[in-house]
Amino acid sequence: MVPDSDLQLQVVIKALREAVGPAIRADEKVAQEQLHLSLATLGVLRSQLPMTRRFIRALSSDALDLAGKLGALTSSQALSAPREALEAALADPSRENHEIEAARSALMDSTCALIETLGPDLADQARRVVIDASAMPIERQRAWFIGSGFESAPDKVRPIETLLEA
Amino acid sequence: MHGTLDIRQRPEDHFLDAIRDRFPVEAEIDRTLSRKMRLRASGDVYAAHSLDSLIEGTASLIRANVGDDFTISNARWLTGGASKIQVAFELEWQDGSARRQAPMVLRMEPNESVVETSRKREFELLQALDGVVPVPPCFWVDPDGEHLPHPALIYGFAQGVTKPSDLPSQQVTGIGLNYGPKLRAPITAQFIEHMARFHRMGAELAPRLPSFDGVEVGSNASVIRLVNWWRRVWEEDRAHDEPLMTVAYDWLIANAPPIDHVSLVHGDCRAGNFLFTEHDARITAWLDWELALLGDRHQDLAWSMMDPYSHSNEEGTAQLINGMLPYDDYIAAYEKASGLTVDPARLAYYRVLCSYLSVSICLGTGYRVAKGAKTHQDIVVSWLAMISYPIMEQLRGTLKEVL
Repeated sequence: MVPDSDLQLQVVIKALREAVGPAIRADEKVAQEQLHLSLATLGVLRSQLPMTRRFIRALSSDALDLAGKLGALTSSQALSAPREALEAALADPSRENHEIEAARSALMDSTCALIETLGPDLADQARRVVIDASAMPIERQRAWFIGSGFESAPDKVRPIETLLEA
Repeated sequence: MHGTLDIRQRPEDHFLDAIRDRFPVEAEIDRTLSRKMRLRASGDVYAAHSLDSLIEGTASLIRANVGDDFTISNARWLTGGASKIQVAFELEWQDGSARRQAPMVLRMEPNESVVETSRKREFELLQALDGVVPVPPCFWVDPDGEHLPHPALIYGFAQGVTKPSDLPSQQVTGIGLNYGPKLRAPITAQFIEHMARFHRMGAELAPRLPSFDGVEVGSNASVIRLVNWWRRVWEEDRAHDEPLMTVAYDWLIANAPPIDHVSLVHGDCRAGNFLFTEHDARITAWLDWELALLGDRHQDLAWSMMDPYSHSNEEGTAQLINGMLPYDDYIAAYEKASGLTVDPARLAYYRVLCSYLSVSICLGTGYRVAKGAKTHQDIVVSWLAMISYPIMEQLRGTLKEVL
């Protein structure tokens, strides 16, 4: 595929940096700031693009893991249908990324709805399950967006490539 | 969402009514959030305003307050912040018997903002704080967008910078900024002294803040209202739900501590939210009061102590809270300046709450605003959404400690 997505992003970044940027007056602060963020966003996107499918599948796996644990804890069938829908989306190579994401979102919504129905005893156990099971998806997302520069100690987050193999 | 129905993108009345019933908040906050949802339901999208059109609205607002004898000149856009549209200009006007001239700022909401707040509250607060801590003088307010396209206020331009001018700009909204060894000590001393001052004065200032619901010592009702504020925002704006947010909300409601002292809480109290003059390291104006409320001082303390606002000292031997002092020194300096105690349990509670509301703002509203193309700064709020994950880890870690 010529030009591929990476090449297209590469040329856009180059054009913005080398041709558009210098043409913006120094006192146009809003335009300067938005160009800076546009370039940064495109840079983050370019690094993410080749791994997007694996990343979405990994987050889906995390959502299924949590739903499985809560299902076992509560003996509820409330998550069965959304779990099966997500599993089906993951098993079908013709499904687009956004379809997998929609199925994951539906499972996340159902998981939250289930937690809200729990009585005090189960709720306390469910909190601990959620807190522990959230560690991996949060770290994956921190690593995914590490290029944003928002981590105060970025070296403490494992590389996304490592986390996608975990 | 690729064509799937997203009720939050075009909310119907029953959706809003159910959220309002379930998560009651302060009256003025309810009015503000409901206005946002009704505007969103109308399908209104952001269209760039011309400088001329905003100056025309500004002139209308000034005329309604001082009459026709004024001139506006040198209007220009201002950058900075992630939420409001700001225009600087020079104003000459007749103020009673005196002729006055002053640099001014118009601060107007876009169609939707990453934090949806009340200009009326901000106006009351800036007036009440005049003489308490340095704030920009606030002149006129358009609370319902009668003169301008959206609610707005006009305040005096304050001199100063939010970060050292020799610091290369690395991040939006001043997060994680480093004052450097020369400025750090004098800025820190003033920051803590000022914060202590408005924390001590909540009950005294309350009568001058009619758009703020009252707060009662010994009751946790205001804390529950505050938690509900951010749950309501999460419900109105998020893409999909997050189990960690559900768990955090339940814990926050179940463990809301009663108020032990009524403080004026800034709401976004941290490095980067005040101006200072570099030649004398003097704080000239505290900014961004839009999230202020009457409540618990630990909220501001916890907010200023959030992980993204800290950095290591030059020697690499200590993490500086809020870019200012090591943890224990920060607490001790505050207690000395305020005469108020810092309760570790309350601090942990508000660390959970501050993390919760940050995720609600950045991951919830940040997403929704950018998705709907609602502001002049969609790229800024979209960028800001990426901070949600380090904050979620802070939320997760703190919850694990307190459970």
